[in-house]
Amino acid sequence: MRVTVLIISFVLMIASGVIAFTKGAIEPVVRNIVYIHVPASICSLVCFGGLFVFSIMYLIKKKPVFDYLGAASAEVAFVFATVLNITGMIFAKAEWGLWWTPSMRLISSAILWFLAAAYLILRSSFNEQGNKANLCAVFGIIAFVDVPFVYISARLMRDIHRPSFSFDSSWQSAALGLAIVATIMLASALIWMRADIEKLNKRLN
Amino acid sequence: MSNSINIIKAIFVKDIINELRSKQTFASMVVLSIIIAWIFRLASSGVESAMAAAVIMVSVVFSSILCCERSFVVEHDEGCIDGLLSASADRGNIYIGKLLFNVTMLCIFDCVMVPVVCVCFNLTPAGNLLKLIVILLLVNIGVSAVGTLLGSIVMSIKSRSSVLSILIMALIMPMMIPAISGLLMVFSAGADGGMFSAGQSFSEIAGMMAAYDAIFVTVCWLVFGFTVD
Repeated sequence: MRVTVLIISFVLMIASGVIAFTKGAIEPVVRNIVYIHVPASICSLVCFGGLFVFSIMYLIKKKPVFDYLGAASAEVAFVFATVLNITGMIFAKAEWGLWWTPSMRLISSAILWFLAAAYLILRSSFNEQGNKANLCAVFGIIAFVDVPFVYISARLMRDIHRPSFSFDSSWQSAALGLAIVATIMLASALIWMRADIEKLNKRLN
Repeated sequence: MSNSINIIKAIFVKDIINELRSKQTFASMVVLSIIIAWIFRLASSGVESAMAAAVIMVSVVFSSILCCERSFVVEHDEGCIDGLLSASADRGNIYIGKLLFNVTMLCIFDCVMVPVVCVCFNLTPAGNLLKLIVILLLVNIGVSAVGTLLGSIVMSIKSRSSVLSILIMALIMPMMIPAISGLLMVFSAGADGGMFSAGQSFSEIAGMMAAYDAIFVTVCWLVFGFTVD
């Protein structure tokens, strides 16, 4: 099943890429990074949402599978937050001449990355299993509660980020839509696989 | 209700007496903040309200890490946490007792640290003293709310100091932005500060920080039981 999801996501990604580079190309060329940047942004938030839900489920049900899924969500959120920040920096350098500047959305995406990194560091710090799953679930919950505050407080900063992308043709919207769906499917498959690896790891130990 | 207040009071008084006897945490917090202020002063050219605001926030964050780590490490290393838990005290009350102790420690620390920073950077916030007190109090509550919970999370980890500093700093970022914006208002007498957008009123900033405090105190109080059981 997860292999099917993975294959579908790759097919959608290729379709999105073909549309983006033929009928939906944006000028100047660096702006085409939006087809990676926006899906990565949405996906990292979705994965954070997954971490929150799985953490609450673990604390209520105490089933190890929710702990594995939470850890996998945090890892995938970290990967997409990294992609989000790197593509954002490339875009910023090309458009504004700066790699990074303190502005609303740039701070928000940097803090998302910090939170995912902090969760992974906490998870890798425990020498013995003990209360590990409980403690990580608690941190997962408060990290997610932090996310809306990141967006609210960042409103205090001056913003040079584009408020939204206006597309000239429906091909561009279609390419972005396909990219978002494909990335979310890819993230789901990755979380699924990573959780299975964690389960096998536990069985081995 | 009175039982809860008694438990909170007992934990708070125990921690205060413990600190009064050793004075270890407070002394480290003050010395650290003086060193931070001194290093930043070397890099500045005189009256710099932006740098003073940054020094105050850096000092509060690092001192809160020392304070919050210590408040649970002592319990864990001496085995007192088992006693606290087996005394059938409500977990939430233990959290509130510890939180009150950490907020009190940070407030006393602010009384020493802020004059040192003002002297170092030739600042006179006398006209905006009330605003300064409000911001520092809200920062202390927010940082302590998160720090107290995280202190209990990392108490069984070997490299707890480094992990705690990463966790606290990642979580209090949203609090730092309005806090620094508010401090800039206090030190530059209402003038707009650099990268912050103009038009934010002090009450809006204080309201944002109060909302952060209220939500994090509530969430941390609710989930604290899971970290110690």
